[in-house]
Amino acid sequence: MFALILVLPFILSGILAMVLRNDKLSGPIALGAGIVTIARIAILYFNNPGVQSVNWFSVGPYTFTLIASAGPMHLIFLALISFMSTMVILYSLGFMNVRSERNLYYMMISFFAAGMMLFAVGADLITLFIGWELIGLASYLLIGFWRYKESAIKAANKAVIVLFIGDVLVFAGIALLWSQLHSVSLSYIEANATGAIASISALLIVAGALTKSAQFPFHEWLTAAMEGPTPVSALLHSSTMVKAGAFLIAIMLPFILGAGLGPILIGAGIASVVIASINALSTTHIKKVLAYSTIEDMGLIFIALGFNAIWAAVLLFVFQTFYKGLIFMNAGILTKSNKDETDIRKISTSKRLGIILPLIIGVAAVAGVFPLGGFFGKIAVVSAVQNYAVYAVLLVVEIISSMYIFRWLFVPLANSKSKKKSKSDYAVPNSMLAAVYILSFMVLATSIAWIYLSGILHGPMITYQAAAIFTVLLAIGLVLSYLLYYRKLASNAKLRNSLSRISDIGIAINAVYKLVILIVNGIGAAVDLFDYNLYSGLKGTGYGLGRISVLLEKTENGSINYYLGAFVVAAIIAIIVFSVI
Amino acid sequence: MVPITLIVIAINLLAIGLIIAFRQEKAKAIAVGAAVVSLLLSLLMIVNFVHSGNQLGPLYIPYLNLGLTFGLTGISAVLLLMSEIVILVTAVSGNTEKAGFKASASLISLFQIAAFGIFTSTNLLLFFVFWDIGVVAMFLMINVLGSERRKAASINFLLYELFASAMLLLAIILLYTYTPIHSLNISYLISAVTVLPANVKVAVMLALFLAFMTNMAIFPLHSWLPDAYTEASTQGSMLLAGILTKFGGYGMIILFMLSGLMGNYLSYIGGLAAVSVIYAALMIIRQKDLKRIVSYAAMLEMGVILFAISASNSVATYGAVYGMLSQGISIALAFLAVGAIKSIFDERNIDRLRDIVSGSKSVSFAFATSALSILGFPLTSGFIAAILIFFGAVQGFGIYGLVPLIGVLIMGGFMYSVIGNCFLSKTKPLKPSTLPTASQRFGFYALAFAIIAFGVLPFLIMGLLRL
Repeated sequence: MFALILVLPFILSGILAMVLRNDKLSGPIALGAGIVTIARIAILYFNNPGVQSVNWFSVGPYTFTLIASAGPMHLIFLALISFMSTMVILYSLGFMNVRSERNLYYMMISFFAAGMMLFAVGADLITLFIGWELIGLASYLLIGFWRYKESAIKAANKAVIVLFIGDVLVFAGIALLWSQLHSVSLSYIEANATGAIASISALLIVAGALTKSAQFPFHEWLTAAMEGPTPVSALLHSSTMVKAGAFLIAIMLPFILGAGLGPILIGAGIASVVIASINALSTTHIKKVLAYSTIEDMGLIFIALGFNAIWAAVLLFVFQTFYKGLIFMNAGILTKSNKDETDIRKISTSKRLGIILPLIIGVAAVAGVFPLGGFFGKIAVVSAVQNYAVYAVLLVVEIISSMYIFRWLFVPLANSKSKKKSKSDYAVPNSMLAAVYILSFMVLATSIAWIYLSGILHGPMITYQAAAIFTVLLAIGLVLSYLLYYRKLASNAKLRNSLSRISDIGIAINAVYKLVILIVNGIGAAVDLFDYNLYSGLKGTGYGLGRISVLLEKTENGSINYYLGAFVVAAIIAIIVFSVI
Repeated sequence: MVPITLIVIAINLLAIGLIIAFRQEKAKAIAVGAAVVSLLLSLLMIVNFVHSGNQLGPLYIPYLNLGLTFGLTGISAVLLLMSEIVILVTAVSGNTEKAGFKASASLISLFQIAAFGIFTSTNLLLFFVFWDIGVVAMFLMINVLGSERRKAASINFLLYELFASAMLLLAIILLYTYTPIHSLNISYLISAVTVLPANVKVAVMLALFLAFMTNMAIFPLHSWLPDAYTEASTQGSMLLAGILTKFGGYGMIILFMLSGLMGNYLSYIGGLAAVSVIYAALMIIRQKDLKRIVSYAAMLEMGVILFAISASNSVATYGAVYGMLSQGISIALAFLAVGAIKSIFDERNIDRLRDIVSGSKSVSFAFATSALSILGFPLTSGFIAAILIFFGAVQGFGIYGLVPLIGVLIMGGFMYSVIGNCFLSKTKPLKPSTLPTASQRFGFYALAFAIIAFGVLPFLIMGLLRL
């Protein structure tokens, strides 16, 4: 029941946005719903309802039960979702100011948030799956929100097809598990699932989670999804959507590691981290760089999960929510103040403290500058790695990721050195700034809070050695990036070409996607041809029968002589045949 | 007391007479009235059944053990409910072409007789009679009201259905001759088939299977389907895909209940169904006509349902029934939406259809709801069906129970891109010429409501099925 009360405000605001004719109210209503939800979740912390279940329906001896839980993981996730949704709605009040179709937008955002929270409270696979699909559909609509752009529709289609593959895989996993256990409750699965079937279903669920979390080889939809409005990206990349996959793995972690799938999580994570960080270095689309950064962060979380370092995963999970939300909102401010330009080489930034400070905080937090969130999260993950090869790869990746994220900062900064623009060019709606300030504050506050809390909560300890190594690598990336992109040492075309050549893995992945579609289409064409021939064959058979009937018709010509002759011939043949026998 | 089925038949015959007698403006109202009364009577019958079980009518040829006996089972009650809903909506809003009012209305009433009769008949002879009435009604509906290539499509349809009828009749004769007390009562046959000689068993099995398989449009006996569905008028497609194929599905469930008859063939039939599903999915992605896409989606769903039936356990069989409930309503809604799109934009080619959502929100909502239900999206009836079907199928077939999901996957990817391109994309938008009429909007919302209601409140149906 508490789950229903939890999602009710957003569902109501979504319905109101759908029904209302006035487009000025839907935004504030959604904001109100967000605030109510935050308050409601705060109450849950003090008055925890625990695990609640409701019998949905029963078939024969089997009952399907929907279970909602307010366990610690669920609560953390709920808090993050409600907070980020509210921030995104606040940001959208300004961002969506100049566009029509606002009601539609707030309706989708509201339903998205509601679906996400339903997912977050789920403690059985069916509830989780319901939320899982709802957010998939809502994100599909949100990614394709700018419907007049063909690229947006293409991106939405790409996203939804990849996500649908994930849905089907997860569904298949659930079906397998149910057939073995006749239950989909997570706690029951954790205690009882063993054997080959459980392993296969764990594999299917992990594969599904990889699609949602945009991990290799399903990661390309996320960069295409940048066609969506920026607040949507901020929401999808910070607390929701991509986190859903990681969350699913995290709450099923004992089951999945028990099935021996740790190496798969680590492998997918490593591949994603490497590909994403290299791609991010060559991409010039302001949001795609951040998308790759998200893929990298999620890869780190998957690596931590693969090493059973749930604490490290949760830590990065929480910090990433705030800093990724912040940096996307900054990206929105940058594009908005540059006439919707998305190429970082053409973007310049205002030097006003109110704009540049959140930008720097965001970048520093993403990179992991001490004492901001990314620092603790990333070091916790790297420290959890128990494999030297993986460790070495992560160290190299750390330099690259520090490089690309500072590049993301330095290129616009360098542009604004040369360009002279008046202050009014960088005018930004207040609600956008408000959201950015609140998030900057949250990034700082959570980071500082963690310094105090880590001792109390017995979180992952960070050694000075690990911190020192990390900071040195970060500094190397920073210096390289400064020299290359701020001092423009990378302006010689040769270097840039070679950089982009080694880093165009995205093209290859997209080619593989296209190949798969081509193959399916080819098989479809073959089947189509077969079907046509089958149909023609049937028609041909009918036609042939008709011809035979015409032939036989000729024997019935009414002539007595003919009939008599036929009778005599037949009689002779009959006599011969019988006598031989 | 007179069996309710006979009352329904009388009412609909009366309705047909009135439709013929009155002017064509009155035709729709009469058909709707008859459909409403039939729906209410079906509810009454279901309520009676829930409270006091079956009340069987008199035997009218006692010495042949044949009679006008009508009753319900949990399964047929669900299918009856579904078909009554679909027929009512078809009568109200199916005529998107706005032509042939008298023919449309009278054929809907005729089909009503068939649908009501077949799901309430308790013996195979009545089953056969109503089956053929349904086939005739649908043949006329395609032949009289369809689009350009309707003649060829209707003959094609009739040939396949005649084959199915012949097979059904053959099986009925065999069953009647070889059962010890010469009865065609379904509840009796379920246990009596064990005493049949082995070769008769095989013959009966084969004949019934071919009959129902043809009706369900399972590969390779599906060739009637795409043309029939596409060439039929909207109300024809709705009834054909929504209800007529359920005759075969219902028969197939009965066939699998005949004890021990199918035991050796389950995995072959499951394999055939899986092939049919993937085949249909691969055909879908080659289509350009929105109506053909929906047609093949209907074929795919029937393949999934056969797959579930062949898994032959309670969960999967319930899933098959729920799947038929869900598929009947969703496909009818999809055809209604496509018919409305055709009348609004005068276009069905997915390469040219753009931005339907700006043209008409209700049509887009209707099509999206039905497509999501077909894909088994949560909170639609298709989800409950998908859960039960695949959970049961995996129980029956192990990991092979997941094979049809490949077909669903291919169809899903294509469906989503159709929705994206045709409904959402604003590039090169088409101008709508009209808006959906009030009666069409009623159809959209009624069926969409049914889809969501059956998706959120499955326990209503499950309670009925358990009886």
